[in-house]
Amino acid sequence: MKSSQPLPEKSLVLDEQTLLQYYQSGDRAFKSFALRNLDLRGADLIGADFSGANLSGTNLCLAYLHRVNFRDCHLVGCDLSGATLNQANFSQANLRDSNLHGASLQGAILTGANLGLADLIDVNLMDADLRSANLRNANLTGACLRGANFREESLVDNAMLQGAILDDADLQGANLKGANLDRVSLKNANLAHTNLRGTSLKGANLEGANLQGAVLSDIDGSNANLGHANLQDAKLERADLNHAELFKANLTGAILADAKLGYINLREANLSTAKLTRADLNHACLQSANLTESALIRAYLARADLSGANLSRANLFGAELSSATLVRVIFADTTMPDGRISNA
Amino acid sequence: MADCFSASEYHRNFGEIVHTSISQAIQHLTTHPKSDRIHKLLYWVCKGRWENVTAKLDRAPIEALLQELVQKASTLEILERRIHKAASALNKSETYTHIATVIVHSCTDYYASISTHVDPENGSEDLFGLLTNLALGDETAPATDIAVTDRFEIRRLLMQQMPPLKIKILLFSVLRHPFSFQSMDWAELKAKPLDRWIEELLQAFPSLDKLETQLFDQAAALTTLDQSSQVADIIIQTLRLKTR
Repeated sequence: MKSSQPLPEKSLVLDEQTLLQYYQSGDRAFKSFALRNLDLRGADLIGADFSGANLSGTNLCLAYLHRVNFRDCHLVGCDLSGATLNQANFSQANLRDSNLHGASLQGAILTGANLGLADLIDVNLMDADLRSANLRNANLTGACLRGANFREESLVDNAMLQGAILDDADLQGANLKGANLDRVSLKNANLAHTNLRGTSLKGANLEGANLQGAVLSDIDGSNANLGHANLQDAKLERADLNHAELFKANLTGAILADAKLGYINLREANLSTAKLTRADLNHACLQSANLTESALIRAYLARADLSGANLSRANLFGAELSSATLVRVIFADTTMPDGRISNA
Repeated sequence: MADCFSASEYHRNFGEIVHTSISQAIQHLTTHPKSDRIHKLLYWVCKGRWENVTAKLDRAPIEALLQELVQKASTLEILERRIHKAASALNKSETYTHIATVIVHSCTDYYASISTHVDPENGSEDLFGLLTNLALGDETAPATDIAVTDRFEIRRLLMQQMPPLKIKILLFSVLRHPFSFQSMDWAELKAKPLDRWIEELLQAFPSLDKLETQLFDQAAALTTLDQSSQVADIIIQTLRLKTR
């Protein structure tokens, strides 16, 4: 049944009761209304249109908001924790400092939304569209971002994630190509088979992360922490990992051709069958690293520390080893820089 | 003795049967009306990245991709699990789940042919399996990796069905006291991510039967939480599925 009273003109103020009364009577369009600081906890507003409205400070905790249109909305400081927001449209909305803790945003549209400093802990962002979204310093610990899209087709204005916390987050299969992930914390995150080509990961913390089969070609990961990370079969061609921390990382079968690995810490890392052709490993720490069957053809290992490393069946043809530390190195059927086979 | 093959005859015949089976599968998939999608899904499974550019897809034809896939999956079950997992991760998961079924079905004869032929020189040892297992990725991952994968899977399944905050509220109620919606409880609830609550729950309730009783009792008592019984049901069903 429709309300007998017509909806007031835009930009007018509505209180909780009036809003819910209009909604229950079938009205859905609340465009550009001032709906600040309302208490709408647990409310059912499925399919409502709040585009352009001001909902700052409003409490929508545990509300049912599937397919709600929040386009261009002002939602600063809004409490949307635990809300069901699947397929909701937040395009260009301002959600700065909002609370989305434990909310479900599966398939939601967040293109160009401002989520800076937002609480996105344990949020479900599966298949969400996050192109050009601002996630600077947002907390996404434990979030699930499988199938989420961060990549703008034009390759400009990619999602901004600098300083965001994504510890334990699940980003398997997400498209992060070209995203800025400087100083992002991705400890123990799942990034298996994720496309991170060309991303900036300067100073990022990926300790213990699962990057199996991920594409990391052309990344800038200088000073990043990848200690204990699983990089099995990852593609790291031309990656810049100068000064990066990869202690005990698993790089079995990884492709690191032409990578910049100066001053990198690969102590006790597993690099068996890894491709390191033409990689720059000057001053690299490879103490006790497993380099069995690795390809180090024309690699630059000047001043690298290989003490205790296992180079069984490795190929060092054309490699530069000047001033490298080779104490207790295991050579077994190793192809040396001059082409001879060493068993010394 | 007509039914007694020499080792070389055995290998030749075995090879022919396997070759015929895989050729039939390739023929079926390349002439299938949805061969474009079959090609893309096979590329996604084998290469770990999505490809739409025809020129790039053409460099890895269906024939090569299928050969690569069956080499990595030693049994039909492994192939099925792997391909369905890959399909479910895609945006058009329903469409590609159907495509996955087409691929799995077309490989049935191939797997039947390799499982019914035992190398007379190696007894019951599955030589093909031994060879393919060398290239097997996640199926042979160490136990710790499997546990990590399950942790992510449990979370994904729960989140897909219910807003995570509702799950946390019920877990808090089971592990602490009925959630009061007061600031003290909110602070404690939010201090720990969902994963940690699940971990604590599994440590506190090694028996899922006892957990089930507790979950439904607390859900019934927690009248302030909408859908609480549904939340309990989702938690127990997911844990039963993933903690075998």
